[in-house]
Amino acid sequence: MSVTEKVVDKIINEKNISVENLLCTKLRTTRSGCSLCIDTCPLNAIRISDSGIEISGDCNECGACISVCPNGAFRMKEGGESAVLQEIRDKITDNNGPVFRFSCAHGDKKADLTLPCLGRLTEALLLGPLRNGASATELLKPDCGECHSGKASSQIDEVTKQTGYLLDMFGLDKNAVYVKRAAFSATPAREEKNVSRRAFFGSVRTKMMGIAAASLPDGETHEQPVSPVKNNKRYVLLAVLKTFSPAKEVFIPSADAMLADIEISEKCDGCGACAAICPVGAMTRCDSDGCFSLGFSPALCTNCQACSMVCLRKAVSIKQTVKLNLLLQTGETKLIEVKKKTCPVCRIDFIGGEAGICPICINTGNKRMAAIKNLTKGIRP
Amino acid sequence: MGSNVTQADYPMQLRARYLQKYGKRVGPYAKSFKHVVVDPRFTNAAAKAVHSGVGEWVPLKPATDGYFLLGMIRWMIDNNRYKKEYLSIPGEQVAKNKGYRTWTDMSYLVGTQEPKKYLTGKDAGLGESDFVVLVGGKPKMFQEADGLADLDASITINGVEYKTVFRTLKERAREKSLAECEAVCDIPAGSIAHIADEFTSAKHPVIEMFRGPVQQTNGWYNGQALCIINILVDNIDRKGGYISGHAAYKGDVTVKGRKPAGIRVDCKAPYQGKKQTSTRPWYLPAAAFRGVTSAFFANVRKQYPYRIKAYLNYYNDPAYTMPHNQNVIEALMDLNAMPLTFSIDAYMGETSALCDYILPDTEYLERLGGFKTYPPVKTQVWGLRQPVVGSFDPVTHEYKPIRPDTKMGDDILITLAKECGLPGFGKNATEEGLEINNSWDYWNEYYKHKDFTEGLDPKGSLAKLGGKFQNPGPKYQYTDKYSSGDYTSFPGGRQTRVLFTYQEKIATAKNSMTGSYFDGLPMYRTIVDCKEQPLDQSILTEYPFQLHTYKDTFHTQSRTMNNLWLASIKPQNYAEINPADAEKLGVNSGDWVKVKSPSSHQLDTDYPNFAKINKDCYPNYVGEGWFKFQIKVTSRIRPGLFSVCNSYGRFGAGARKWYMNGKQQGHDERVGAGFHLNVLYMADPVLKDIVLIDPVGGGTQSYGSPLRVERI
Amino acid sequence: MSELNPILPQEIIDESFKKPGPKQYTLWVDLEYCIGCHACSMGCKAENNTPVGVDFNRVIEIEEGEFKDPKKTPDIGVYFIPMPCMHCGEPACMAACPVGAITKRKDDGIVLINKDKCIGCRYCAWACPYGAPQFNAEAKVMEKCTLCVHRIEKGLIPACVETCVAKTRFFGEMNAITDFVARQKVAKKVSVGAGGTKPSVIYTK
Repeated sequence: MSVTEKVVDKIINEKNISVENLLCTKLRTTRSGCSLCIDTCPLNAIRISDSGIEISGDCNECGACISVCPNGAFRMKEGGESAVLQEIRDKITDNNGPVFRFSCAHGDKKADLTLPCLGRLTEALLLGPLRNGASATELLKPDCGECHSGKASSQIDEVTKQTGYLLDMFGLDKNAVYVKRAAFSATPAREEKNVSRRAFFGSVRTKMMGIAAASLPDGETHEQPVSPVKNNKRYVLLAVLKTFSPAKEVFIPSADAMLADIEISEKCDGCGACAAICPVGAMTRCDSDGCFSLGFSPALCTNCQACSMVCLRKAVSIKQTVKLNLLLQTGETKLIEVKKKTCPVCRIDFIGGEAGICPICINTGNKRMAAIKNLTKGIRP
Repeated sequence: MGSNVTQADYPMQLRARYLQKYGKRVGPYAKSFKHVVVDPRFTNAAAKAVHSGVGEWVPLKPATDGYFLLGMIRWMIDNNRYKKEYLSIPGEQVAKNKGYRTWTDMSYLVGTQEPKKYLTGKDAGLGESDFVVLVGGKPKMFQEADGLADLDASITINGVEYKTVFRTLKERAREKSLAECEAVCDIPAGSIAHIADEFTSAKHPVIEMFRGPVQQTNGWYNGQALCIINILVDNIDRKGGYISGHAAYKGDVTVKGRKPAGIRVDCKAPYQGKKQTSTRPWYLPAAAFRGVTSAFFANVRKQYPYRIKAYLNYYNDPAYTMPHNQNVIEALMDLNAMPLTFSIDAYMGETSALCDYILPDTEYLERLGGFKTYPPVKTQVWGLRQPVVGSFDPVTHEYKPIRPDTKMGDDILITLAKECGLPGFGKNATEEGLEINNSWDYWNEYYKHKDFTEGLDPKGSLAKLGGKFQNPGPKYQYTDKYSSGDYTSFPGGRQTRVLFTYQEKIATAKNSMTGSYFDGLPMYRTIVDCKEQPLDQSILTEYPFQLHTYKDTFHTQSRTMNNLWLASIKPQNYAEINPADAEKLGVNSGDWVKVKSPSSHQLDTDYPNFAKINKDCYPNYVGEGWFKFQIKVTSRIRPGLFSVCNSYGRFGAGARKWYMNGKQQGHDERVGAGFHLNVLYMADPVLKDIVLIDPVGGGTQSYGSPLRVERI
Repeated sequence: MSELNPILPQEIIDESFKKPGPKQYTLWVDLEYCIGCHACSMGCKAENNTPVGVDFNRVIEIEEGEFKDPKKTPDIGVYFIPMPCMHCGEPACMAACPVGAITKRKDDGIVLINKDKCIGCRYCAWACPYGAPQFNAEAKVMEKCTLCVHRIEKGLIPACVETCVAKTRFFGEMNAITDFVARQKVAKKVSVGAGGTKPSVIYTK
């Protein structure tokens, strides 16, 4: 695409959804088979390639991807988690009703808050009304089978289930968040807003300028150095959870959990791949005082399992069940802390290994010798 | 012999390429080339020699080269495998008539009474002639003989027996049997005969050396014996033969009144003492061409023959590189022996660190001048050098270096000379009345004379070549016009000449320590002390191992470890021993042993200054003369040797912590990794404070020092 | 010195580079010529400015046989094996990399590490049968022989080939060299390793 084409394309197709490639597990490691967003996107508008996540023009901004991606790789530019939570808070004071009702654009127009699609809802959003005094959260769900975004329906069930676990932990009624059937309305509800011509063109101009600047080729400047990108979605959830007080311990099977509990066995050779790959910064590596250590922040873990998939030594294991309460834990736990030795061959610090030489040097040496043996075979008469 | 042509550094790489060409797959002699390497170590050259299955490795015991070479001479003479006609040529005219370009002194008569001189025409009552030959049993002045002379003959004139050089050599060679030689060399029986047979059967045989055979107490004679073998097969100056190189283009700076005077401290001079014999050795200027640095420091320490006032160290790092370097360190730290010392150095080397004043030199890319090359380069060459960084003042030609407080070594020397008021510098320095104030002035003048004309004119061809890797000019290249049949010829190469196998200058000189005459022909000898006595058998029994050193192919000098890239190839060295010795000692690769020499216990007693810093220099010193070494077991070293590669275990050059003006400076321990063994060289049993030195040629006994090795 | 440049005619290489379609650029090392001088390693270090301990090219010395009795003729051999990256047909390093930082270029078959992507986990070092990937402890990334891709793109030959004292290394297209070696009689091809990675570097003895 030429620069002009790129600019035009961006202006026409500019979406309200942005992506954060660094948070995508699939992009962090080729070992990950994660395809949650692709599978969930009702319009098959998401592609993931070497150059990153791409959202095509088909996207209708339903927001299911935001809900499904545990790492928060997708974000609403306008109307993000915090904005919606704020809206919920505002609506509750307005209505002062015991049950807070969410609806999609095809659902009941009398709902407290209408979203383009219920697939957009996250655990934080479902808990939002409850922490602001509502007694229950009701999802007015029409027959998704009639909707072109119907594929997102499964995501609604998943989020409801996860919210149920959280409610359980706080000693609240699991069924305080529930789905209620609603009639399907073919014409989507849309809030009409009166906008002056001046305001309209003003906003178009601002948007275009920003886009045009972003579309210009990099020139000499290359990618910025990687700065840690935060999983905002999780941080918002943690902030919401803080407003509740825990009542009991809840254990759930790991396969079903939004976080994982991780163990490191003594097979660990300190390569640090798990920490380097963890998209959400739940695993960290520390090299100080001649020690190698791995820190783990369970509250940030999204159970993407990249760490265990990547580990060459199979030293990272994910526990069968996980205590959901770990979500409320602040700070890091040390998973492993081992004194480092310096290899006399490569002069690089290492941990583990039986001999005084680092396992990589031994392995490389043996393999190389095996390869060379073939070469010298038969030279000497 | 004792030469590793696969060394990566200049000048060996040139020879390595030719070796490949002749020994391997290309060229008309492909695969018909046989390369035999005589060396205690299975060098890379030996590895290549045996690679194709054609060549051989002869693992000679160190310091026995004389036995091997004289043994070969004996076999060649016994079996008539020498060029009889060639050796019988008495002079130039006969040589020309018979199509030879060189001839030898083999038929010349030499006296059997000391001093053993050539018989001259005058002594024989024949007329003016330096040499006399026998033709049909009759003495004749060599220039008058018009045919071949008697080769193996003798005659008695005025009651004195005179023998031809050939006969003297034959008698010398027959002093030992081949079996005796092989026993001394510790090689399989029949080796010498087999090698000599193959050697003399070859179409173009040649025996070559580098420093191996000559850096020994029998070095002078070893070198002589090696040359004689080449003479016996008539390959000198021939294509595919033995060619002496080392010719260089020359310039000159003709100065007024600059001439060295006095006696050198290393005693490279005829003995001038009043007593019959000297207390320390003096070396023959005719044989010890370059001086005897090992003797220099030992003498300075003993203030013999006089006390020095000042020492200026340049282009040298003897505190690290010198065998038996404890002498150097002790002398430098002894204010009485060396009251004032300077060093010109580009970094804080071992020697500089012990000097009173350090004059910082420029980087290696900031040098002006030129140099001749090493003997293995056979053609006439000259290396031209000019700075590639920094700049010259356009008016004064003063060099501005890239680092503050540094100065080109030459500039420092010239400034010093001017300050000292030495002739040949400053105003009216040269005969033409030119000023020499700096390096540029000097070399500009140098490049205007003899083989050069243009000086350092920036537009001139010489200056343009500087700093570029470029052939210095087609006009100097070998072309057909120099072709001369079987003989080599090139600019600077040798032409018609006589080759002397007998060294009259040596035979008529005396060993200053004993007062007896040296020998004019090679001798069956291994290690001898300064009085030419062999080592005591009891020492050899108590110290059964022999010290051996070598240089890794990628280290050009023993001090090149400060280029850390080389540490990437090999981070440290080990003491290498043969599997047979490892079994005897009960050690494996990686184990530690301790080792001492017959004289290393003196480190605690006779070197009080060095003893203070010994532990800093040699962390592996464990006291009472013992040093710890880590072992590597390898078949590349013949049994009985304790072989340590040079270039490792540095204690200067930023290898250890060091301080300047009380402030700690940067250091990198990788520079000093591994082991250094110069302190382990055995001291001369007579003098006890100096390494064993060739009494004739002044070479150090670099290999074969006895050692005792014990397991820890 | 051209007469000493032994056997590989330059025309063969030039021709092969001109052929259309994907190629495999590689090195040919003749073990009989290698004198173990390590000049290639130094040339490589100078060209690529690698730190100590990171060597894109190494020369391994192999000792064979045992010599213990000086009274018997010694029967030992020492071989010098220059080991650059083999730029394999099926690179084990590429398969092992958890972040897809290693790629094999389609046009010339050169295997490269993308340092921006590399996380320095050294899995490639574990996987490689030839010890080619090296850990740069300062930059905390893996590096390896690039076949001097920056030189090749300017029409130059790799630095190790340029420096080789014994003229025992050649740079060229794999199939062209293989065909040439098969045609002539002086050098016999030997295969390096059995790692199943289809190494492209050609060794002859």
